[in-house]
Amino acid sequence: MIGFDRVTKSYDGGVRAVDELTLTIHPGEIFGFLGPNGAGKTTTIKMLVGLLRPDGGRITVSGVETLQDPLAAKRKIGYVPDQPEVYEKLTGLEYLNFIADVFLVGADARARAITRCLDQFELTDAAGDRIQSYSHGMRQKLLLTAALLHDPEVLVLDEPMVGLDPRSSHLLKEIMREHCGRGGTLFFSTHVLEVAEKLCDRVAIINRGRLIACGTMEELRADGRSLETIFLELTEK
Amino acid sequence: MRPFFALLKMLFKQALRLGPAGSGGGSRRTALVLLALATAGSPLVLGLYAVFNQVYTLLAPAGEQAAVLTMAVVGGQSIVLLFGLYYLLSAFYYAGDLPLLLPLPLRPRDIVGAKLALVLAGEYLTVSALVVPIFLVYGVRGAGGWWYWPLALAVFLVLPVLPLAVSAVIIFPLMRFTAGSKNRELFRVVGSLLAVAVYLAVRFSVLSPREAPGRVGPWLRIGHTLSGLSWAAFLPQAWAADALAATAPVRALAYFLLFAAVSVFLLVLALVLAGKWFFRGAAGGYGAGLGRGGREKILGRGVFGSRSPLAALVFKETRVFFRTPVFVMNGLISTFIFPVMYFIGSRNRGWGYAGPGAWFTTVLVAAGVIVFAAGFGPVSATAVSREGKMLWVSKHLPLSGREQMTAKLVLALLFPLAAAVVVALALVLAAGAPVRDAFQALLLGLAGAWPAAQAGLIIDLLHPNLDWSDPQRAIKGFNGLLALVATVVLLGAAAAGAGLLAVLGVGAVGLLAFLFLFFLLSGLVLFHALGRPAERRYPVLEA
Repeated sequence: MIGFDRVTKSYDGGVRAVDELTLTIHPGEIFGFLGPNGAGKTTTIKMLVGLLRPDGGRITVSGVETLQDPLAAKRKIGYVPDQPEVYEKLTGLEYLNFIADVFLVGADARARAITRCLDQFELTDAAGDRIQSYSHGMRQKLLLTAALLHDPEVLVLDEPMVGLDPRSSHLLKEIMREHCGRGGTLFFSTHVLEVAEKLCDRVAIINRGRLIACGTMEELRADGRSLETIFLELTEK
Repeated sequence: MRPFFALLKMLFKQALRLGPAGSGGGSRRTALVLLALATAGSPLVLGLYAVFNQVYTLLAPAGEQAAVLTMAVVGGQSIVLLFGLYYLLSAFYYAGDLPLLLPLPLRPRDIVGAKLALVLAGEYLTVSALVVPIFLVYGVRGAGGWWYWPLALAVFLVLPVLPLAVSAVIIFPLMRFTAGSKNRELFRVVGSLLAVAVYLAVRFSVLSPREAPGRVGPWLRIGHTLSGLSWAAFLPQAWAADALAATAPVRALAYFLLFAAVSVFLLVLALVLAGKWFFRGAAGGYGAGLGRGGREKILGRGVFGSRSPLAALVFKETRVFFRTPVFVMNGLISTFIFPVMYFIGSRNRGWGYAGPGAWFTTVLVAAGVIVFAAGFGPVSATAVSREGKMLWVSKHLPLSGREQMTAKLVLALLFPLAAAVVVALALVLAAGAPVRDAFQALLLGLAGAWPAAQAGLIIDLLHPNLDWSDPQRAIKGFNGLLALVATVVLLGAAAAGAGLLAVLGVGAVGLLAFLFLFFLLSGLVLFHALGRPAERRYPVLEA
């Protein structure tokens, strides 16, 4: 479970990137986080995974408050950022082993997880190469593999479909459904409204740092309008 | 605007943008950073002024005061040549902007010229710390004629051009002919370090003053020898010094024109080579082919062995550092330049050991070289900065700031450890000192390297430069200078304490024990102090 309680974050200029955000995402739920560019999606995600410190409010991950016990919270999270910046001088396999060591994944468990994910994402042949030779999509898939290694309770993905080919994109959606089918929580941001429409149990729309809509697809489309229409109307205000 | 000038303008804007991304007050922040830089560097400049003023006073009675000018020119150009190699490698071949520049309709000489100008601007800052105080001493003491001041400015402006052009002439063929190799990065680092080694060997070995008069070639000149003080200069360097020391303006101008002509010739040669080889060398750095192996080979036995989180961090830090050519070259050159000079000097000039009666001085000097190597090397003072945009990886891991910094400290200490081995070998093998003296120097030096490295870590943790796409910007910065100042303060405090004890009648053994304990205590205090900023700063750092 993820909880945001009146979470606020401002940057240097005083602009509130996230303004009193309150949200609860339940176990087993696929939750889509939508909003135009610069709305505060990535800032919210960065606060959730411990990359940014909120100015106010509290965030909990499976009952652990991120500011009180950040390391315990991080152990419960698997995270893929929007930009797949990663140590280019390591090989894919070295990076995955590094992540597994840090998340205390044993030798047998990591061998199974890495082998399965690399095969699924068709990365096995490139796993011994340095990451600097990987394409954007390959880096994205490597980071997805790394995020799944320790079988996290909460999966946080920032624009996960960007850069993925159709097959990998389809595979990722299956992995997302599987993760939530096992009781895990999935929180992801996206610009692709179709993906949100087809995949999410609930979505939230954020604009200029403020939550402007949240609910199931049915709740949002009460009058039969498409998610795109709702999104455009809400974010124009 | 011509493409060259458009590119030049953009590169300078990018380089001078010192504040974090998105922050306001750009020019004010830049001015503040430059002011802080000047403030931090001024003790060094003032100190050098005082030292060379004294040297001038010593040399003047024999009419050898112009030797300080040779020292300025040779020293300044040596610094540019040694560091210019990797600055140019970094700017031309490992910069993050190359994938953006290569597809543009720019001629190789536009890109090379603009980047060379940027590196040149940086070199003026670097050499000014050494050259300006010496030129001032010579001018203020009134040794030059009325033409001295404008000529000194002209020599200063031309000074870095020649060694930079030489560096470029070495680098372009090196990059071109290693472009197709699978191990090109290794070859490039080794090739560049070999060039540095050759230069140092020529500088300190062939030009040994005891043998020089009979051995030097027509391209070298030994000048201004007094009481064993000898400075050998390549001919253009001698011309630059002669221009400033000349007693008639026509003679001064003639020497300067000779110096400037050679510099311009080499610059043109570098640009011609750039036109021929730059694109082919640079293109080899991108789109590396995937060296695919069989599934069994890639996921074979032993691949999935586990380590402790701290060991995993240390391995990651070490791999990333040693596989990034710019980091390796900077780290190795900065850390080993003094120990290697000490080794060569010990072999050729008897620097290291003056006999059993001088064992105390021997140990102190050798230990000082090790501590200085720790402070001068940038490995600790850029440990956090080197994370750059990858900081998110470290920050999202379930590891404390203390653990992260400990891993960085382990890597930072590897360098002074290796420097200590070089110094110990210099003492035993090159200078013929007893093993016991070398061992004492090694222990004392490493004890001092510990607090020096930690001071660098704390400085970088408090003010890291994480906003870079060119790795050179990560490793060459203000923090290295501050770490050097911190090391000088540490050594100064140790020397002051030892001096006080010496006045009180404490013997050599007691003084060494004091220094050892002082360094250990400083190390412990800083290790404790490192924990707090690590826990406070690491979570709030943003790339």
